[in-house]
Amino acid sequence: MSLELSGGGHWLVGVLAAVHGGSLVLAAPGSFLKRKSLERAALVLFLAAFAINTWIMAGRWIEAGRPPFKTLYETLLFYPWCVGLVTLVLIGLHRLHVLLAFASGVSVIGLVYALTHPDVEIIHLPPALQSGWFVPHVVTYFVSYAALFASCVLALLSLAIPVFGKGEARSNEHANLVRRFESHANGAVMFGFSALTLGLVLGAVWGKYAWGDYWSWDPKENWALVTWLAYLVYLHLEMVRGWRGRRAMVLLVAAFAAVVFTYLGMSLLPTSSDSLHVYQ
Amino acid sequence: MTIAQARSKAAGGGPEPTKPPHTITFRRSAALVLGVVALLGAAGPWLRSWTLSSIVAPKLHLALFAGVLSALATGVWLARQSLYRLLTSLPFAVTLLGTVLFLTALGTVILQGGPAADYPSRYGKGLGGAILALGLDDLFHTAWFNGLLVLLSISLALVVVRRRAWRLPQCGFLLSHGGVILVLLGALVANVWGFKGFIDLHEGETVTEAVSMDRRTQEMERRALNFSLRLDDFEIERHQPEYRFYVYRMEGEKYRVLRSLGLRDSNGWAFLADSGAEFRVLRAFPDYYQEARVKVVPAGEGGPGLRIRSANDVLVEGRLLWAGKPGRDQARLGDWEQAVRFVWDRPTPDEEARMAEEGPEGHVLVVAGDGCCPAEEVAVKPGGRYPILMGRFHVEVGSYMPDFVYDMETRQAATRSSAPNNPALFVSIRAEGESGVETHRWLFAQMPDYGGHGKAESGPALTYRHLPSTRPLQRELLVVGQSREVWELENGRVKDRTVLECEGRFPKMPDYTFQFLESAREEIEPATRSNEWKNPAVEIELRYGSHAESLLLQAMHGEPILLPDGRTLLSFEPKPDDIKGYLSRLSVMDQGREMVQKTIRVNDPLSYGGFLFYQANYRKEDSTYSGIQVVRDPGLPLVWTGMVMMCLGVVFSFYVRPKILQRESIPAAES
Repeated sequence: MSLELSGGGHWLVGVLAAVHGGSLVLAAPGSFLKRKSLERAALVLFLAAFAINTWIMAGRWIEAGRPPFKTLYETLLFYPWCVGLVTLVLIGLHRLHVLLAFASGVSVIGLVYALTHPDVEIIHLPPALQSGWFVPHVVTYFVSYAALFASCVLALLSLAIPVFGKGEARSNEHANLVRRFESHANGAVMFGFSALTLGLVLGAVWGKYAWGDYWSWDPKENWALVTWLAYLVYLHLEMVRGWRGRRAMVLLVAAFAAVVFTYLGMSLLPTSSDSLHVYQ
Repeated sequence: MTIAQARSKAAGGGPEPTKPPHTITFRRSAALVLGVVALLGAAGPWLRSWTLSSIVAPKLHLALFAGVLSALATGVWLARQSLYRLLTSLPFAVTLLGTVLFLTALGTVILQGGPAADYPSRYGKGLGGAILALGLDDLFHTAWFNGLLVLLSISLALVVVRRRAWRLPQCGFLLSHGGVILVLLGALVANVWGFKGFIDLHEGETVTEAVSMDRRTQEMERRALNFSLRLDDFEIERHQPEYRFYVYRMEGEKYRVLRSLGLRDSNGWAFLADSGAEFRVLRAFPDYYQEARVKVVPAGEGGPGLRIRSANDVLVEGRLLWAGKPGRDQARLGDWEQAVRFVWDRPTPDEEARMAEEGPEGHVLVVAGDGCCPAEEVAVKPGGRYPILMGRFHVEVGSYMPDFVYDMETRQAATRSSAPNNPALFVSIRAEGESGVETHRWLFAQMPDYGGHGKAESGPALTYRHLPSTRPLQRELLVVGQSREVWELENGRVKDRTVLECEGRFPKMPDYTFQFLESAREEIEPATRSNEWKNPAVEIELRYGSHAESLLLQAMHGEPILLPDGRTLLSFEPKPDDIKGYLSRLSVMDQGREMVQKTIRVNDPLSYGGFLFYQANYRKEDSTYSGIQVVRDPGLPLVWTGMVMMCLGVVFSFYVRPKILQRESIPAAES
């Protein structure tokens, strides 16, 4: 009889980070220098990473005997999976290969943090999280966050093109590209916002069953509301003349900052000790 | 609002030519929002203590209230056209949403609901005072914040009307905007007619009311339930206990868990972080105890023993007899009526004759071994003086109390009776030599751990074994080691002698075999009583550099091991998060009849009579207590309907409406 570090699949997380790293290295020059072969190779690595990520999540789910969305570490493994899913769908639907490098990049950041800050052990689900609403609530939110990440990347790209791609001859091509990115960013927001609304509602229903309130002005709830309102402001401003285009894209980037803060920033708040949502 | 009205009136004539119209609308929106906030903010302290009687009673207040209200109503009526346009405009929506967004974020940055005295010390006198004055310490419950939500509802309702949102392509718009209105309306209903309270219950207790605390006045309010609620049972459900190794690192005064390792069926060394040490598990004992194991040793190093085995070769527990050790030389075998006594030397005829006589009671001191000397057992008599531990100490045995009691009046030890109900022996221990310190203590046969046992400063560790007086038994077996014989005794007299054959099997006791050990010794070894994790311990091998040692770690009583690097600790402990659920079995009695019984847990409340009962609290120190939260929310159907509408509306607007518009526009383009 002897020992093993709990969470036996931890070394696989290292492999996953490496594969995403490889995908990033191939995809970045592939997309920006327009080398189709590099982009294709990156896509193959990205698919492999998605498969490994799926394996890790499934393994963790089985090992823990519960959905693996409890701790920061676990969500840092799950978020790359969601980003991968959304990226692959967007590539399938709209040939947005340009997302590959960014999706791999954000995955590498998350995974490296997870690698250096692993959970010391698999913990049981506390009574408050033992609910049928747990999985739909968390999955809906993370898929939403992944779609909103895609919208943020597309918004950034649409903003960056006029800055980096100067030159009279190509201005027409650039304008088309900017329009294309803006339109897809908007599409990603529509999906992300739908999921955000559903996640908010699922959270409210769960809150009602778990502690009697569908809304309790908990810091995480408040920031979920802030995020939701930020995208709501974007969706309304989009219809105001003079606010389409660049200004709207800047707003999307800012709104995604709210997403990141809602996900990771809660422990920075002085009110976080009141929260039932803060990741430990 | 008057400012906003003035502005909207002034600007009502038409947009300035240089500014695009939406810029102006944004400004008016901001003014209106600020106006509402300012008005309600100013009225806030007054609204807090607002009750109908406090307004109506003093005539002056009534007049003031009516005046302000009618002035407002007149203003709104006069500016209704531009107000309607403003409230239903996109810039207004954006301004209002942005304001709510900002305030919501602000409410997470400023500490909410803290004691008023904390704010000046935390944020400084000026800022802290401002926070309190504006109600930012309880932002989400201020009149002005909720006023903004009301304004939002009004604006939403108006925009639904303006857009005539009941037509099919507008379905998504109606659902999403109408949904938000319903949610806010539901919240309002809950605020006015809802109830949120608490019930403290102990097992078996019945209550008929709940208690709630007013957020503002901090006053308790009781509310009758119209039925009674009984807590039948409260239970904390736990996970199967799991025992793990934890590696801690000292960081200042705190310890941080670096690693957690579980027992697994695989082999290998585990590194203990960067302490330079590693360890592996040698053996695990789920139900640890110290087992005395018998070891056969060369002659002179041990004593003669008899091991009694049952037929299936399982060592009969406690059936290891030692010749010449008082109290350890006899046993009763299960349901076997006969006692078995073990001697090595064949009794002489003299001794044989004495066996039929009654024997006095005896006293044995068991001396624990220390670094230099092995453990020993000494038969003693009151009044005697005995050397122990190779003469390094002497024990003087004082009085003997068969039924010890401490008499509180005389403050003296005494005996209640002559029956050995609580045998105690007074001993004085003196170390050899001039400086020998003398210690005195009572030793209790039934409480071996009582009084200084095992403490280095109080001399050698002694335990006392009392041997009741012996009377010849009706039937007894005497096993003689030297000659391999079994003597059958009746009332102490020898009836029959049998020489054992074939591994010491006694023909009249076919279920047992006797094994003679000419020279053997008992050794204490770690062992497990069962496979249940009752008292887990592990034996590990710890290795650092070229040094290796084996250690025993106990989960229940153990202390962590400090590793040689001086800042890393290794311990074996139960996993801390073992609580699976809190379960309260509740019964509802209505008009004398038991209506419902349900075991509630977190995430699974009981619903009765329009109330929901939630498992909300427990007390570590009181296992019969359960805290139940009671909620009554008549606005809930509105909220759920609104939320479903929001989800459907958003999806409809984004994914269905474009398709409808496309289908409508294609025939239009074709025609």
